[in-house]
Amino acid sequence: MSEMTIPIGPQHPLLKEPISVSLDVSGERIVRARISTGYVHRGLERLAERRTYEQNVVVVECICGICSHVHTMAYCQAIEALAGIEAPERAKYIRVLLCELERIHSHLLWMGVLAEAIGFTAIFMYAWREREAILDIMEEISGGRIAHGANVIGGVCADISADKAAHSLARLRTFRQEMELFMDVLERDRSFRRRTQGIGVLAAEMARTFGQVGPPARASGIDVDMRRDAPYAAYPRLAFDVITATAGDVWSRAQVRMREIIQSLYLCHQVIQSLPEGPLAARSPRRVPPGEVTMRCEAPRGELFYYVRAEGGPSPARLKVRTPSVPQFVALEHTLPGLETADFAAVIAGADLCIACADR
Amino acid sequence: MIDADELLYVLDMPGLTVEERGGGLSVAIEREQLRPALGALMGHPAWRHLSTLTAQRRGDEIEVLYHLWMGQEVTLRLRCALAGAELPSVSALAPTAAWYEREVHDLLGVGFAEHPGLTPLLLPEDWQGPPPFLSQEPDR
Repeated sequence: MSEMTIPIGPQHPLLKEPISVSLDVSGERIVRARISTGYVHRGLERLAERRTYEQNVVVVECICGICSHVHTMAYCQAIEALAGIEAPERAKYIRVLLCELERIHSHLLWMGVLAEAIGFTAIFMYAWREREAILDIMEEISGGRIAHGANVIGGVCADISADKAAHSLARLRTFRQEMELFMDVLERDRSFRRRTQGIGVLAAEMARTFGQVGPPARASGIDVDMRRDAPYAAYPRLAFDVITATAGDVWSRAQVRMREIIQSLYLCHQVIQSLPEGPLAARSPRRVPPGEVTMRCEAPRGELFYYVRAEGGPSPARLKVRTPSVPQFVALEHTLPGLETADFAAVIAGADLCIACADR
Repeated sequence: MIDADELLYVLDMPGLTVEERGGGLSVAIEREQLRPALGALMGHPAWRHLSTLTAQRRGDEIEVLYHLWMGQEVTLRLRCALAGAELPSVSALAPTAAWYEREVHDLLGVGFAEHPGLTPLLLPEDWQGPPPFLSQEPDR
């Protein structure tokens, strides 16, 4: 049967951000996939070389809307390491709280996107409705639903009062009960399982070869999580499980993300219950001495990598960011061939790609 | 995890020095040592993945850093010429390197021998001008 090329993107109803996926198909079977990015490349790394260290907290926050907090946290932790300062304990706990709330809202956003892509609009509506509770808590703490502006070099500038803490705990308790619906859909809804089980499988060995990180790696059985493997902020003092699955299909990725929400709720509970008293930030460094540092954090999509080199001036000499979606692109070009075109939606939505992150 | 002594033992190449730098271990190597070094480290039990490549201008040269995650950061460092440089592609060993090498090619103009497809990653197809990170244009 002859082949034809179906161009998907950079603008397409299935895609939330601009990316080009060119599918060569033979009948209903995908033969080849080519992914092109760069449509939202904003040159933020180069911009960072021309802004001060303080200004760059805002620059890196603009890399991504969904995971802005972990970007600023990774950056601030890198500069703190270079400058030899340490954020106070209260700041470390608040950083973790916002990180985990961000993970919950990101995973729920993704759940809605996947459900919408496979025609399950009701779950999209429910997921994004429940997500509002998390965004409200983040807004109460930081003033922002998405771009929180909570991190500064040396700590945080957002605090949580005892009243807000109690209110947040109550809201999170209610939220946890609502998660039962999504767990039920995952386990028992036959249409959902039909569209996701056995689809887009990335076996463990191939996941290792393609350097997968985050939920896609864990869904293929790779036990990697930077919160445990390269602990930072308050994570060394908090208990949580790293969730893995084995099948490596879209359904396993959904399982891992939904179960990670439960772990994140437990982390939020621990943080609020044991939040130490004290200052919110250490004194900001007058200058950052020459040196270089790498920093890894566990963003909602996986390992977020930062490299900063300083030469003693007011701006970094180099800022390099590698976001967790990039290994996914490489793996997708491998997993898409052989699938039916109708499964493309589940796989591309199930990948939870963040294009703004990847392009910077 | 892997410590400095074991790193040197695994690499098994004369004249190498391991530094503790930037929160991890750092080794400067020559271009012809790149593929054997990466291959050796990928066979170690602590190997997890290649995180990314960082390329940056260092005076009259370009420095390319290979950031490996092995339970801690292990950085392989290479230097090459500012213009017309070509390094061996490691995409046959680590497929994600294909994308990181395309970005280095885009932003600093470094070539990669035997790369499966060194097409623009971030830059438009019709980009004219020097690699953006080597541009001397003033800030606007």
